[in-house]
Amino acid sequence: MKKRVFLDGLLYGIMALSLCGVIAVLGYILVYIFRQAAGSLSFGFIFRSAREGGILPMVVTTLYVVVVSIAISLPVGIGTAVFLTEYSGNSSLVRILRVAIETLAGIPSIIYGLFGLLMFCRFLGFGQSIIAGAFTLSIMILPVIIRTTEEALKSVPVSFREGSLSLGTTKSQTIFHVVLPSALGGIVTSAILAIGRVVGESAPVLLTVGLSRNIPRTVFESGRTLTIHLYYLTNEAVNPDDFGIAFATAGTLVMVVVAINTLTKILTRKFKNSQGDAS
Amino acid sequence: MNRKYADRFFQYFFRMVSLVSVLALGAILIFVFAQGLMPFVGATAPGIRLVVQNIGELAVNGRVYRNVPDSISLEEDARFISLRFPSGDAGEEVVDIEVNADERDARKRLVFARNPSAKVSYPEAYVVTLGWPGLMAGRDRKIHIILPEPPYSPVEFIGGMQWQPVRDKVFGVFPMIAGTVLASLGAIFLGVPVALLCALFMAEFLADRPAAFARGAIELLAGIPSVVYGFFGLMVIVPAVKNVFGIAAGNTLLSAVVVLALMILPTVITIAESSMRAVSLSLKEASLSLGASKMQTAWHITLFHAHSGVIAGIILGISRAVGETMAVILVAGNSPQLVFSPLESVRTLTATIAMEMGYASGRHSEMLFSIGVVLFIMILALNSLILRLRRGMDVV
Amino acid sequence: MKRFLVAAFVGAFALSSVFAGGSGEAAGAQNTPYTIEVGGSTSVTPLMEKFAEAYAKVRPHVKVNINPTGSGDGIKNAGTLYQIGMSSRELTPAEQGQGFRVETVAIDGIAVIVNSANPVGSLSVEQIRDIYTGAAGDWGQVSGSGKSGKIAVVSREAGSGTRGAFEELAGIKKLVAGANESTSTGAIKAGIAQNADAIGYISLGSLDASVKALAVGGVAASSANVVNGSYKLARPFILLSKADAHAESKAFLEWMLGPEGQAIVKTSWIPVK
Repeated sequence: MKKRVFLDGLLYGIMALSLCGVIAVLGYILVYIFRQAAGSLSFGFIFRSAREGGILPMVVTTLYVVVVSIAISLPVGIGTAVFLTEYSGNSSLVRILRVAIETLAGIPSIIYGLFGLLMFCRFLGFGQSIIAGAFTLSIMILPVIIRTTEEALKSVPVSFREGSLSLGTTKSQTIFHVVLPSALGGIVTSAILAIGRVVGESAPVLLTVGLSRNIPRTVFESGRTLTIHLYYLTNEAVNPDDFGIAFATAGTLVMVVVAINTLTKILTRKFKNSQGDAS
Repeated sequence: MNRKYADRFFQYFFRMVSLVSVLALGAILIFVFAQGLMPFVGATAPGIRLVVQNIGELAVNGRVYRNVPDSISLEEDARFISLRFPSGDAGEEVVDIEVNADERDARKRLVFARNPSAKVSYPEAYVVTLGWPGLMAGRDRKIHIILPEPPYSPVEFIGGMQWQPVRDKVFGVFPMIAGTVLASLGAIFLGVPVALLCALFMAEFLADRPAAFARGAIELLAGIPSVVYGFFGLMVIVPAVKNVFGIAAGNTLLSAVVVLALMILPTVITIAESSMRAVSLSLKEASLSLGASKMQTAWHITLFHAHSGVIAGIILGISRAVGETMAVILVAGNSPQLVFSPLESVRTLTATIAMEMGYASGRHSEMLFSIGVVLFIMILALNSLILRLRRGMDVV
Repeated sequence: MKRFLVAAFVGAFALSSVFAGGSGEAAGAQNTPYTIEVGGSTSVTPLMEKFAEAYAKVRPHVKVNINPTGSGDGIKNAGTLYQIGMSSRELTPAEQGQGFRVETVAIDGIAVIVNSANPVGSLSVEQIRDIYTGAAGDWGQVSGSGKSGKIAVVSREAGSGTRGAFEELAGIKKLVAGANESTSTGAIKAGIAQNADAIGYISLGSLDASVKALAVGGVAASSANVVNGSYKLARPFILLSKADAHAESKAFLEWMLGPEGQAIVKTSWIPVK
């Protein structure tokens, strides 16, 4: 019995240690980045142009890419999720659709980059541009949006739909006026998750959006997102202070990710609460 | 009545919209495969091409060009190339070449009927350059004879050990396939035990609040862009590996494995933990009531009953490691060699694509898409494994 | 929900008007804003950024967009995606013969670099070849190095202009297996600055105090020695365009080749005129 207690304690210790280790590594990465960035990172850093050592053009390009890819992907993703939850029986179309979404979710991002390069940059003639990158990324984030939205739609109680239908509305009216509004929180969450993916993505963006450092005027121009700026700075490091700027960019990216994570969590909690109240 | 039509309309509308995903997947398959299979299907060009520099007038097989175009394509089945052009001192340069199309060795395919006055060189595979000193310095007269490259053998592509894409035009990707497999497996061996210990601890032993905190931290780990990991690896892990093992350079398989292990941790932990939480309470209670300790229950009951979820998490982790690009480029060293030790420089499939895309031309560029196809097939195999496991889980 | 849809539509319209604005902008008279797309070699990029910065003062309405992708990409897309393509190597035979206007804008030396703590000061071309082909794998095998330990060989990726020129000039047929391949000048510089056993090569124009440049065959790596022909490791920076390029991009090309542009070249590279 004593041996058992000892063994349990040992295992407990190992497990606790490994979790602490993982969190410590995380902490170390964060501390390392922010300590190196300390010299360069400031509020003005985000709003200065690249020649003055700032990252304004990259912030603008990243925003462009995010807005355009979400604008393309969100309606399609919501439409697909509605089809899957509200209309689908067990037809072969649904099975194909499910396999397609699963497969899309598993494709490595560099393959999306190759595809975007072939289809949008070369075949459709957009060249390396924000629009080509946004199209590519919008396909990449589609599975994320579909899955999360589907979960949200599923959690809308059947009684809502039945109530609405019993009042004589049609199915599409029920969807637009009852189901979608009640699932709004989940839909917003899915959009934020997708934004997180777009902001953090690098390989496909390098292949489709390019590296140009100017502030883009239109979506047909090439640009450089924050992740690509970080990659390029670490690679080129032409000026000695480039590493400081690279760390500051990394710090900015981490802060964006933290903000997105927090926002998602708050929204999910709120959404769950309102669901709880309703049912 | 109107409302009914609207209802119908929206039904078809949603169906059409949902088809976008299927179409997108189809487009990806068609585009990437079409481009990636090109080098194995056809030759790079139908026939021999001539590229001419600094020669004003030229006769090729009897046809006279006064304003010589930049490039001249010969007929597909040309067996003979006869070049004539005026040399400086009112004479004429004459080169007669027989084309031996059946010869497999590209260097021996052109047979010069007599020794030409030109300097013959082979700047790269499938190219023969004839050079004459120019009338002015730096204006050498040159004729490049570009032979079409025959379809590449898929066996030599998959099994080939050499990757010499520029000069020799040899495209063997086996070292990169091995590099990808080794890096991913290494990351799994290093990362999964840690991930499972963390997940089990979070699911079974931590109170709600600390568990939520840990989960938040791990989500943050998942959200850090891969370039940041690569950068961190380059500045911290690479020098550490160099110093600890006393080797010439720290850009090694081991560095790549460590970075990838860090990157797959959140994926495996998140999925494993949620499937451990889903194990029904009654099973655990039964175990506890039989006198098993909490630790025994955790290992024998929770881990056992969550195994399909755990395996799914591991496979997802593998596919994340296989697909990872930027972080690996920064730390792996990228030498296209077959490695036998974790302390050697290694290159993965994804790294090859991202590194060389900007520089590649011609068949080299198509070959990068072929690498994409190989990667695609590996990922599809992993995905179908996950799908099968999911189905298994649903049945249970 | 309706409001949400309306907002989505309004957003889509706003975007499409942005697209329309983009396509209508290309053609124009004297001082209408114009963007010159330049793309290609990463080695030429630092020079091109200096050009772009100075040109913004000469013709403020012209914007120069630089895409540092790689020599191969610059050559492939010159005249189509990019009005001006950049290359840091001579065109291969297959790349010639597409009707390009090829201009050499500068000459750049290739500096062989080691860590500042490395006692080696000079190597012969043969020694460099031995190191890069694997005939010499240890600093002890390099005569006169006064150092021992395995050599960490750092090279560029296949297809890079710098690598092509370096291998041709040093007579390297096949790179030693195990050599690290980096995608850029900066990565090599950073790697060598923190590794006392490493050797690499970068553009002479990107050289700074973080690493030490070796003399090759007893000749120091300097612009003056490249000009007088005694330092052999040099290659051209090439700009490619098509005859039907826009007037603004032609003007920019002339400006770079003219006295003002060549004065900028002189800051770190070797002018051609």
